[in-house]
Amino acid sequence: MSLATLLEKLEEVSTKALAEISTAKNVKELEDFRVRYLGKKSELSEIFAQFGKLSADDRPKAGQKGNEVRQKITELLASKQELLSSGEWEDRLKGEKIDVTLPGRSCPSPSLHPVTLVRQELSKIFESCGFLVEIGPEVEHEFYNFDALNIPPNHPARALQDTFYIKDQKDLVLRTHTSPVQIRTMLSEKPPIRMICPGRVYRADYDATHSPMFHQIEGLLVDRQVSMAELKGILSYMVREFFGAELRVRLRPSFFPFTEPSAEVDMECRFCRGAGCKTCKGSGWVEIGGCGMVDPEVFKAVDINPEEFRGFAFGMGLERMAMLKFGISDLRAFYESDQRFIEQFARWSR
Amino acid sequence: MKISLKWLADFFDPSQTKKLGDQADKIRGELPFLGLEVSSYRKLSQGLEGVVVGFVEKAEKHPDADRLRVCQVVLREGDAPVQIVCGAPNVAAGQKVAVAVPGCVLPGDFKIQKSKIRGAESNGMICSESELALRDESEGIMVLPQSAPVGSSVVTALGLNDEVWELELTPDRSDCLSHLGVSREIGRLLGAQPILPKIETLEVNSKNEVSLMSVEVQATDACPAYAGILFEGMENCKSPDWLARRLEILGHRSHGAVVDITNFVLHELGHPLHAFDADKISGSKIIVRYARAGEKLVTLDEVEISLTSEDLVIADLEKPVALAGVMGGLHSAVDEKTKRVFLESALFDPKVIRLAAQRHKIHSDASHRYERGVDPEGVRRSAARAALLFKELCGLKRRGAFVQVENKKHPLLRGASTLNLDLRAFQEVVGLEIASDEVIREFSKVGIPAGLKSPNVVRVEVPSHRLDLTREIDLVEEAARLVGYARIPERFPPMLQSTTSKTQTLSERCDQIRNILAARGLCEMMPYSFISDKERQEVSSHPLVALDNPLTAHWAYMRPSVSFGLLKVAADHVGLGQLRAEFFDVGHCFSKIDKTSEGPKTENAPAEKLRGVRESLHCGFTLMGRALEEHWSYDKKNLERKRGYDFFDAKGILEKLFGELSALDGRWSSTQFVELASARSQPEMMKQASWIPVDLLHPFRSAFLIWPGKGGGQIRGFVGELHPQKRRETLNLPKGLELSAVVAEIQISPDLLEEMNLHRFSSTVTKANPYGKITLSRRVPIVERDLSLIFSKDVVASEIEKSIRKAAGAELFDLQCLDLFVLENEKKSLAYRLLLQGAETLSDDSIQAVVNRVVDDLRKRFNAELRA
Repeated sequence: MSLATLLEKLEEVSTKALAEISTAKNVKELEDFRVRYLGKKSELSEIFAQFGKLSADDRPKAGQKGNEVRQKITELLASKQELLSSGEWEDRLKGEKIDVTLPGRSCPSPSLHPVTLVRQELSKIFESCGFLVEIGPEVEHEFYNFDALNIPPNHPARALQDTFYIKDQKDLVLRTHTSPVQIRTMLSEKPPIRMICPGRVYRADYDATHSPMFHQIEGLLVDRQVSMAELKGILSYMVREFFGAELRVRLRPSFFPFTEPSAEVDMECRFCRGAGCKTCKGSGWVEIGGCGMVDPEVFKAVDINPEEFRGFAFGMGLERMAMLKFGISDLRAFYESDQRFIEQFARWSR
Repeated sequence: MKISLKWLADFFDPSQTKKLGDQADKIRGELPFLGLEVSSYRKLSQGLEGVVVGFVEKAEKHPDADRLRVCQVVLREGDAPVQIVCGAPNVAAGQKVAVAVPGCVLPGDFKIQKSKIRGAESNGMICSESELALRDESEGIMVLPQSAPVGSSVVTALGLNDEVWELELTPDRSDCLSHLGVSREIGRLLGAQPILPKIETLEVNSKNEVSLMSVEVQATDACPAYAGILFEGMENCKSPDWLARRLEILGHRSHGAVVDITNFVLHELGHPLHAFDADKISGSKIIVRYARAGEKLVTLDEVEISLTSEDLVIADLEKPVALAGVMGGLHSAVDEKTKRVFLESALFDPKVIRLAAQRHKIHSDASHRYERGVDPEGVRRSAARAALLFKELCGLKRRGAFVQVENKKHPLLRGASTLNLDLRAFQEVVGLEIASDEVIREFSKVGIPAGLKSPNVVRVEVPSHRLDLTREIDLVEEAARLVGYARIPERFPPMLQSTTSKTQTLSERCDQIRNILAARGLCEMMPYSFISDKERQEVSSHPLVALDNPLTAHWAYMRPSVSFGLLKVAADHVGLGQLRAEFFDVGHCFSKIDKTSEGPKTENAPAEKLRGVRESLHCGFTLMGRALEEHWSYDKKNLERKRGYDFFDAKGILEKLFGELSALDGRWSSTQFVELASARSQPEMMKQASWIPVDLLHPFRSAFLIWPGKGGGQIRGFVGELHPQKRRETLNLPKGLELSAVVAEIQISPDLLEEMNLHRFSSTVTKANPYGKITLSRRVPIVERDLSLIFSKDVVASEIEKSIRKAAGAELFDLQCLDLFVLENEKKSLAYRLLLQGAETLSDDSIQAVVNRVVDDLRKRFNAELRA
């Protein structure tokens, strides 16, 4: 075969191949074309096989043209391949389309009781000032719940707290406050003491603002030099940390048998910042607890020398703190065991 | 306690009175900072601005209504009367009445309008006391005194330019339980001392007047002072309007002048008085003695009480006539026929009065004051005040002398005392520096004489009414109160150099447990710790801790476990249509134990005083209903989707909480098996577990947590499915609601937590190496080998696992149970995956050696066959 014929044939194959390849509709057809035009048995291979018969002068020319043709076909196949396969991916992905607005599979949200959340938060605040958490029993002996706290039998102060007594064991009571833990701690530890005791307490009282079971947190600091000024300082710190706002704290004279001087603790209403609103009944202040300097009689009962040591104690209701923090108006909500109520606090859990 | 502002004004001269009226709001606002809490207050004139005094000219029956009267009422002198329809039975011509004219808004937002009542025009309303908010209840309209000028406002006519404060006093401030007492504090705010009211001069006859009325105090310990005066010439005497009104404002009805005067003096000066009809005192003799057990007394409120030998009574020659300091007897009460009155003014031991009031459940104005302590000087002052009022208001003549019997050695009569206040002590306690002259000035403002003893010490003469001031620390408080707590600075206590840090407290552990359970999606509940008698029978056959004075029968016992409460709460939620409920509770539980055995051991609680009650911390949870939440994506044919919670869901959570028990030698054992075994050989074991509600559990699908120890170990907890029969019966679930429920509970004790924490993550944990051996697992490959074996049906998984772990040895990195098939012929097939890892890459030979050891051991122990 002459060089001219070969070149013509190459041109023919090239034109045909390029035309056909561009009609390929999918990757499979393209693969068929690849075999047809570039495979071992393809026309192109046959033409290449003829090259050996050409003269030495003609051979490079034919080779050059052949390579050009093969190059063109290969390039077209590649570009066509890319084009077709990307389309197929697209089709496949399209088929996998989802509605991203459908709800996801839920994962559990930690639902701790608001009383637990508040207790944990307050404990953390006091622990950061060196107070250790102590706990004690809920069925308590009168000695710890009353006598050692300077509330002797028949003292009118016992009437302040409606006490549940244990049947057949009249010296046992359900503790009416967390203060017996102070006594237990002072009996077992040597001053200086810094402790808090959160816990469950009971009083025989039930209405919209009283629950027969509720929770308190109580703090005690016993040291050589401590005064009401430090007491005020700790309470202000607690309010600031717990409510995350600069709310003022004030003390009002009061009476507790186990402290002298004694005081009620008020803080600026966190809802109106002291301007007066429904929660604080327009006064701008809300009561959060009681406090005072440990009465010398209490120190005597636990064998701590009141001449050497002084201390302050404070206590407040966890439910009250939760109500103020979260804006809950009904105390009974805490004990109704309603999942929908508890779950709302998941947002706040850490 | 109620205080009338107008009454307080009586204690000051007129210039102060005006100030008091003008600054009422300010003064009321200041009281809490002196320690007198004003819990509420009411301005009496509020809403009464448009109410005027009217004169009823005519009152005729309504033509169309039997019960209504059509009245012609003059509202202004000289004007024609207006017509008002009135429904009160007591309205009559000639009365002066309170009329609310149209447009006026009465207390309670009650708007008065012109109207037609059954065809008759009505131009206003004739008011009752309750409509004017002067009293809680009233029968009929209020009839005003004839002296009230027609057309004037009732506010002025009745002296309602007043406000009533409700004070909530702390028990130490018994000195403030009267208008005199409060006026001392008010005086400080006004800058004036209160003026005592006029009293009769009394000559004392301490021997007593034999012929008229003699007094004998037998119980001198309980009654250190008793005084009395006899009056005669009584005529049925009504109280003047001002007196009745004063008492009414405080919530007391008028009972005639004599009784009203005793009540008046009580509220004025704070000292309880009692008036007897002297002619009903048998033998003209008053004896103060303890009652004889079983003696009866009918009190003024017409209740018969049975007296005990600890009750102090006032008696005549025959019988008790009053429960001393608490309430008088009906028999000797003053009434309209009374001619002679014996007035009692006494001092009683607070404790005796308190016990009597408690014992007989009587709370009176008198007992309230005696319990808290009264001013010993009030005995005489109050008698003298009442004597003056008896004379002025009732025309009573005093007969004989003022009889006074005193036990001078009694501590209540120790007289005025002198105390020192060291200003350095004040500064140390209060944290505020204060000058001696300021302290002296502040004390004197409330009528406490004080002077300088030495440069730093103030000498204080404690007045007899301040029973709360007995120690220096009390003076510290008094001074701080008067200076004002607001002056105390705020300081942060210095940080401690080191805090004794306990490794981990019980409460921290409980919080860890709470956090793990919550993270698993369980919701924390806090039901009451009380249970009812009916529930008690469901949850325990063992006696429970009972309350002596429960609020209701529903809350009569302390819970022995948290499970029952949780199941109830879960059943409530499911009953309301929830598909699933997953709740937990961590809290104290109680059981009754032998009084001789050990009480509860909380972290620092000495047990000796709490014998008879075991109190322990429990952690429990319940899973009820569907194990999986609904989701739109789930294959509707997949049955797992609708699976109910079962035993292994609960056990999985416990494993997460407490790690692998096998590492501790603790174990889960079928409740059936334990009950059988313990009934035979270890009766003690089940006794400790009396808190577990075994009857509620499915006997073949529940397990006890057995803690290693003496006598086969201790039962410390359980996990189990609910007994299918009990589900509906006990939990009150709606019929047809078949749902799965599983419940678990563990008794948390310090030793249990200690152990569990140690073994929590790995058996390589030791005390010296608390975090265990940390392996770099990626550096050495882990090889898996699966074994499928056939066992007899009775072989339990824990035994097989234990055997595999032991035979495989140190190379066993983890063991997983892959599959369980129940086969015929009482056989089962179990598949295990062994994850092996050596210190270096394991060779094929050494892997095969491990597998061989395991298989051989299982063959030998359980006659296991390797499946093809």
